[in-house]
Amino acid sequence: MGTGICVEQVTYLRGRDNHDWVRDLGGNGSEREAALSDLRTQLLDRLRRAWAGNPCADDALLEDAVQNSLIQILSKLGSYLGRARFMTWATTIAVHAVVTEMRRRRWSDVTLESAIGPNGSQYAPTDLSLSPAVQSARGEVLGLLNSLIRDELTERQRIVLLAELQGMPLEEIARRLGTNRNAIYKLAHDARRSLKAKLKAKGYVADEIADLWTNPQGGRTQ
Amino acid sequence: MTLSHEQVRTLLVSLRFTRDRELTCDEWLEDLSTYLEATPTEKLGETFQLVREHLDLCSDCREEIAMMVMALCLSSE
Ligand SMILES: [Zn+2]
Repeated sequence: MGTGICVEQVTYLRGRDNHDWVRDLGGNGSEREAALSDLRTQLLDRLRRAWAGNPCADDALLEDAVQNSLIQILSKLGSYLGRARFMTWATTIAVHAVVTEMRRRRWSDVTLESAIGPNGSQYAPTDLSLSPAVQSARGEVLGLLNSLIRDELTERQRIVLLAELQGMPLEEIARRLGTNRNAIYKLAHDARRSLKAKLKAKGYVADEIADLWTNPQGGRTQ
Repeated sequence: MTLSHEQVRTLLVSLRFTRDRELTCDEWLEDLSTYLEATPTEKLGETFQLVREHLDLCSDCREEIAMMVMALCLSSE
């Protein structure tokens, strides 16, 4: 019997580098099982650290998220390019899985209709503590925004824009519209570009009118 | 629905940051691990311009990056 140690023991002692992770997870047999077990442990530690003290993220949720992440990581292994550390890449996938599940639970009882309301857009009255000039400029912009949202956006663009403004996560909007987050982002992007272009065509620059809300005392007005 | 003062402000700020070319959330997530490991100077460079611009616009991804920073024990620069 020799005194040498096997490859698995060396990996355990020095930790896996990027190449080791890809090789072991992409392999078969005991190396793959050991790598999966190590990855599971490390991801769970990281998730527990991030969500420590958060009662909404119980251990069962974190363990389920890690399990789902392992499946995703294995299926995406070919797209890992080694530009970042393997564990950093894997952690982004696991954190995304937890956040997604927490959003799903938080919004589970909310329909799109209840989120955006039945009557289209009506804007809150302007702040009476502001000067008459700023109040008037805000009122003008609000009226214009209201009509552009109502008349210039497609139905789906309007739903996505208003639901997003209500704080509904894009993934939850996508779930309700039977599509994916990428498609929802593109709808929201198209809606914003359309509103920005229409405002510009009417002589309003987005940067300047945003100042009416972000810096109403010193803001630039038309 | 009635948009609150904060929502009107959010919409106008998002129009301010709207660009013709933006990363979707999934594209952003693909670049995220490299961004998280970049130095503060690299993060401010051209390579990550679209990643930074996405963060200006997307509250979902701002929430995610905050949790990733905690999970990875990184500084939040
Ligand atoms: Zn995003």
